[in-house]
Amino acid sequence: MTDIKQRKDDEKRYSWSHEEWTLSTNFETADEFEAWLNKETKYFIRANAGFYGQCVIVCIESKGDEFLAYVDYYKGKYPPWYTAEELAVLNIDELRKEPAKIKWENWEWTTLRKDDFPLRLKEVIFLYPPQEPVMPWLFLSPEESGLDKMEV
Amino acid sequence: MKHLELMPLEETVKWAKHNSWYVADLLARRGTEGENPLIPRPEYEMLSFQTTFLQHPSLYMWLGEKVGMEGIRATCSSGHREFGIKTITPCNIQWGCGIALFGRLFLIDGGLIGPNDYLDNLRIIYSFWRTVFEGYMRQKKPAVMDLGYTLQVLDQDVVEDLGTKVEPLIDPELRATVGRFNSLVQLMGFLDHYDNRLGLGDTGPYDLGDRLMLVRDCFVNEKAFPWTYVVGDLPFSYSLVLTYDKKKMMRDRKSGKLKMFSIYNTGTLFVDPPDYEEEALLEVAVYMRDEDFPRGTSTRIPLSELETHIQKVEAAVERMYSYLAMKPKFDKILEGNWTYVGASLPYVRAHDLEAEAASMGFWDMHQTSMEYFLKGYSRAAEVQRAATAGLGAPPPQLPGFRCRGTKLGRYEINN
Repeated sequence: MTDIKQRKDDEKRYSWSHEEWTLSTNFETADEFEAWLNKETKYFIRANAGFYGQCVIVCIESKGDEFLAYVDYYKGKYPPWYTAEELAVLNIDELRKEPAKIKWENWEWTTLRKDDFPLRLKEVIFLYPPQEPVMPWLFLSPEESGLDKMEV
Repeated sequence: MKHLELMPLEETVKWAKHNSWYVADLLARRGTEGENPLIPRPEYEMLSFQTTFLQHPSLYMWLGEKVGMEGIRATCSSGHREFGIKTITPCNIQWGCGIALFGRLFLIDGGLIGPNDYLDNLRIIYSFWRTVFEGYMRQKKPAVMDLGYTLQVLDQDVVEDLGTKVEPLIDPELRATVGRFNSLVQLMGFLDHYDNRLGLGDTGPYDLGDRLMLVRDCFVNEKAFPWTYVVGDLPFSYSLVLTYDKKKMMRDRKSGKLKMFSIYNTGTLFVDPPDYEEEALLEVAVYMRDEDFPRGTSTRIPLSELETHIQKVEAAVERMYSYLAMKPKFDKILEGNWTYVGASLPYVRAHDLEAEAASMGFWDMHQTSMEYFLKGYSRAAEVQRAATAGLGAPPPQLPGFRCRGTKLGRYEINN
């Protein structure tokens, strides 16, 4: 469905970004866009209170205008004002399997708006490189790190 | 000519977002901890955060001119070989700049500035912070989160040497004594730094084959603070070198019993389940250091002598509580402010420039900082809660971007 072209270094809008895509994809609704993000996004920051989406700048064409906007999406609770009881039962290894949600309302890092849809998505910019865990067995879920198959 | 190389304004977006991720994750943990009623923390955080945001960019530019980019990167080189010094602890390295960034959040959340005010300060702070971190961790990343909450600073040969000097904790009585000492020196480090984490920090885990190792530094007597006379018989720092059973931890991670063993950017170890550290602990060695780098030396304390140090620290804790109990609130706001202003001390000490920085006004407070503080004072607690969750850290409003800004009324400036 999506024809994504990864830009070479000399084609990037920002030399300091991690990865940039050029594409031309139409989205009718915000829900459709959120489902696409979950399907295509490769990078999440795994933290201990949630997962944070890595793609935060998009270039869109909507209603005769073209502009850049921020999109922030995550798995878990944000702001992460957990009670001690909530934190005690929070299981990050399980949370990773859930879909991410875009934080639409009253949030400075999401400036794309639901009423921008329908729109054409033209660029996606990943700002930050993925994590490189020094001890994957300690940080990642046992399935991701391969610990589940290791004899210890 | 030597100077701090500044990143383009657009790049601050990348670092501001990155910053908000790990701040939020840290605060999720910190938010569950108690507060010390003797210490007006929201107020002193508001004052010190905005003071450093407004005043320390010039310090970082000055340092750039003194030592250049390579010199800034070498700020933490002492922390690769030594411990018990502030240049090894992430809280002291991170938060000199980190609290300045918090200052922007406090000022924005307090309605005192907008997201496009003091943009040069933002560029300078992120540029300096990024450069320091290029020389800090082994992997040269800017945050512990990037490495899966593992923080390796000491060179591996130093780690392996320390691993040969630890003593087993088989004797339950000795284990209990070490436990008391461990708790007490952390408490004293906290108190000496007005209940913030500049007073202590862990690095690690370091890999020693069948063991993991942490190095825990507790700065129990920062001699730059005027209240050093209250704790004057204590050394500058105590350090514990702690080893853990790696195979047990792997088994427990595999079974799901161990959910996390993470060092945050404050150098704080968070473990789930919370009492797990003690369960996996195998061995320990204890050290003290008389002064911070570039002066001072580390001395090993035999575990048989720990009781003497426990008594000294207990007495100092008691004196520090009395000191805090008798201080007027506003004096404590000012003193707490100095602990966070002092978060940039390691940057100047590393180059033996502390005296010169002080003569240039390192400890002074500009009128602008005081004015902003008085305007925001009554809302300090409310602003602190939002700002320390990473809220109110908007990107600068850049051409071509749609932003939430003054046009939407989100950043109404009350100044």
